[in-house]
Amino acid sequence: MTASPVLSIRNLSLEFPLWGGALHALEDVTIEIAAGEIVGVVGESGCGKSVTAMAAMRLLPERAYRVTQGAIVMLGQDMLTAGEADLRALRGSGVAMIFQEPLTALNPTRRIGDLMVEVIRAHQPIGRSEAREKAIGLLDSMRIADAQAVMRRYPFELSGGMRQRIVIALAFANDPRLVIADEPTTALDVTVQRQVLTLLQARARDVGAAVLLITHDLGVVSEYADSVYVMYAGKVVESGPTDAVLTTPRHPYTRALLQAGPEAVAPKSPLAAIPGGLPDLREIIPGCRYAGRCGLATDICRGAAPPQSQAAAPGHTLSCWHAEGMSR
Amino acid sequence: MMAALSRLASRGIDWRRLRHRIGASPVTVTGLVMLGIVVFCVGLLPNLLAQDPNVINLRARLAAPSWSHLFGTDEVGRDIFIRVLHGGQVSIGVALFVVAVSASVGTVIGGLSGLLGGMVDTAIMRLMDVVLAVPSLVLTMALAAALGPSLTNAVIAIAVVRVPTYVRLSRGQTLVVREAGYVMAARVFGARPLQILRLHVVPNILSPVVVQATLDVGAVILMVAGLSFIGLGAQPPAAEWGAMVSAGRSFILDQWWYSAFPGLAILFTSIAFNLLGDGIRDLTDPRQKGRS
Amino acid sequence: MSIVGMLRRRLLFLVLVVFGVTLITFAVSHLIPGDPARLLAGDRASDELVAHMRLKLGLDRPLYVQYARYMAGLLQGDLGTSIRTGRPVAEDIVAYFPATLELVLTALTMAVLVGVPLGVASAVWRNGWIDQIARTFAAIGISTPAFWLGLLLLVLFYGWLGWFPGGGRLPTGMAPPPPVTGMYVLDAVLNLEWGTARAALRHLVLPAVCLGFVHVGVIARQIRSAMLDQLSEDYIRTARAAGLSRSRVILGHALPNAAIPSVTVLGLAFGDLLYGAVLTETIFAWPGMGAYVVNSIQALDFPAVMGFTVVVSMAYVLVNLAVDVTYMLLDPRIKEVG
Repeated sequence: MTASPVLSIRNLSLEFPLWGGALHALEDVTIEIAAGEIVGVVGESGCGKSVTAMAAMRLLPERAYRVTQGAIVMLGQDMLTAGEADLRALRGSGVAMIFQEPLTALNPTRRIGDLMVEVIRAHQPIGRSEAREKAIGLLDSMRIADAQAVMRRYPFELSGGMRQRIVIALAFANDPRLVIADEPTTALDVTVQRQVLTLLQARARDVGAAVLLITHDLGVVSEYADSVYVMYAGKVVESGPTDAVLTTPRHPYTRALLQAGPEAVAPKSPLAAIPGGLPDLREIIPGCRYAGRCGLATDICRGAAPPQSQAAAPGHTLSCWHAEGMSR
Repeated sequence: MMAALSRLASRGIDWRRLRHRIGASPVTVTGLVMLGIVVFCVGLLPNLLAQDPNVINLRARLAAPSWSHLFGTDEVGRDIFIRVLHGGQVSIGVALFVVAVSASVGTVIGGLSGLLGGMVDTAIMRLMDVVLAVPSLVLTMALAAALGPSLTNAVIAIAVVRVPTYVRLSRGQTLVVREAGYVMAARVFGARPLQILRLHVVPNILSPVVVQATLDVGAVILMVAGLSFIGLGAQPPAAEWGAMVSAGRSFILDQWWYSAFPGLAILFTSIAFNLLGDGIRDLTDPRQKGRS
Repeated sequence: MSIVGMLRRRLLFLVLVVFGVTLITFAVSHLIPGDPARLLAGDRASDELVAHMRLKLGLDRPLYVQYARYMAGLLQGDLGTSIRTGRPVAEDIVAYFPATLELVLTALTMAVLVGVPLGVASAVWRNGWIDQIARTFAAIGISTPAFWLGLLLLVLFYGWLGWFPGGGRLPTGMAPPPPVTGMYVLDAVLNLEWGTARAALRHLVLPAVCLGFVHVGVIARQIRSAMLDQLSEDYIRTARAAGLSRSRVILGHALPNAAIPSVTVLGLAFGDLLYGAVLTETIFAWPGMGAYVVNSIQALDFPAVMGFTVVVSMAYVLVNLAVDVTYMLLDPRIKEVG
């Protein structure tokens, strides 16, 4: 672990108040991202990975959620207490975000160039023409042919892959130190996915930006991420260096994910390859959240939450009562 | 996460939740309370007070509002408060009647149009397009003028102009229902269009029609009053709100209460219906659910 | 859908509308029991006079002949002759039209200037106090009888406070500016007659407020709902995540996109404004088409009422056509596809 992480989420618990109760979306989530590191967060739909990212950016609707414990520190800024002005300064320049849907992520009635110039000038005191130059440079770096022409286009005139490259270019417009990418390629064709992710990785390495890569696809993680966090039902169940976690998975859930293969984890449906479904997050779950679907579950799993333990590789941690039994 | 939320939203009607949501919407509550006041004043109060709205008292001509005449009196000394209460029965009664007639006629026409399809459907919908393409209030005015000035004719004119909205609503719904398996089966087994309409279409379309109708009542009250004001609706001696405002016009600078109170009654009632309609629409509009 | 294709279809539709409107009103006015000739001649008129009247109006012919005649005239811009004024209806309408247009345009401008900010604030602070106030205001607006509001304004600002004149377009004795558009304020300004412009403007205020008030609520409602749609879009999140200021995101990104669908509402409002003008003009003695038609109604001058209805319907369809074209031009998605 590096001394000053770009993003540090510590013991974060977050809930959405509902009428007559609450949806416990995140519980005791700890994620650290060092400068220049690419970190994958993986899990099924509904496991809380997107909520974590949105919470880190303070983009969740303000009155709709409640943080019950923990802290989020991003580039030295306490995100839970930051004011609108601090957030504005940080968003875009310190941290950028890439969303899942390239089709709707761009303002439909603004030309690509105008949007990029606006975003660049929101953070840098430069003139319009200089900003245009910079925007064209960014598009070039995303391997967009004929960037000049693309600047004059509207989003609907471009393909999905092209739009997502523009979204990435936009994310890097103000030299961020961290880019949060929430399922950046899920909506794209498989062939385009790899191109886009490779571009994202290359660009991040070039400028030394860290990336928080949220995905349901372990294949993507293994290829692009330095370390990985596996989330299940609002908790991090296993984490560590990508190699260690994916070659010697210790948590039954991680194993099931790996066995299921990347195709099995469709973006919008629960993992079919593992019997059972996600627990009801409106209820308070005393034990391990995976117990209901775990083949190894015993009484202790259902009775108390598993403690965190260290695996053999440095930094490889997991939460499972049966970690010892499995390592054999 | 999102899946869990939407699961939550899709569990049928939960009455406790519904009451909670109505309670959380001051607009709806205000509408309900105001409508309650209107119903009391117009429905019950005239019977309790048992005063004739047409009693003339030339000694108390154009009296300002006081305890004996809450809203003052008109040029022949009739009590405006009593007349406003009785006028409400006309104005609101007429509005409810118009909405009921146009909603049922429109629903039947639209349903048949959708079920029969083909030439009939095309012809009906073109005709409705034409009516909808014309500013409805101007058309109402022209129709009322053509029919001749009377409350009955104003009612006919407004009802005619309101029909197309319901035709469209009901036709759209019918087209959806028509494709459903049980309706197809009914058709195959030779059920007649009217039967299908009654058994399958009407139950499905009731709730959007009710929402639309609630929203319409306020507008229709204004239309009736407006037509009466320009002399195309209720005729002078009748206690109808629009006609009363119109009658008070010549006295407006000195006896403001003459026109002011009947108009206030129109405003109050119309707001009540509009707030209520607004609230119901918000509660039933699925688009709004994810947003609160 | 291309613009040319749309124009062609809509102009065809316009013909259909004119046809439909005339047919409906014509049929209704002639199928009901009652004799227009008798009505016009008066109860005590001799039978000969009534017969003469009938002949003069062409009421002795079968209905379809009357209708065909009317339509033939309409094609040549002839709306018949007003029974009340004895002049061609078309001439009357042309003479009264600018006054109504001036009133309607002023009212619409005022309504937009108040309604749009109100709608935006309402959407941004959804369910907050400003939203509740704006929604209540909108509900009051659409529930207010315009004729009653006009009377109240008259009592308050003319009768009691004396701030504004009580009716008409200019003080008695003041000559209207040389006609350019027929709209007094504009004409006076164009001719640099500042005194006249001020006087005309003072006369315009109360009727315009009365007419526009209703539409403040309508516009605010529309903008509110369109803004709510836009604010929940993904591109808003992108803009926010890119660090654009909240006001910039709302006013620079969401509002322009919300304004596009809202343009249609302005077109629809135009129809209501024309009817509202009928009531408003009556109250403020504003010599426009509305006052003309009310006088015609009271005089049972059916050709005039019919002429007004046809002209207003055509204007309404054309305005909405113009609005839709604007819509297509404003939205790049549609323009490029065409």
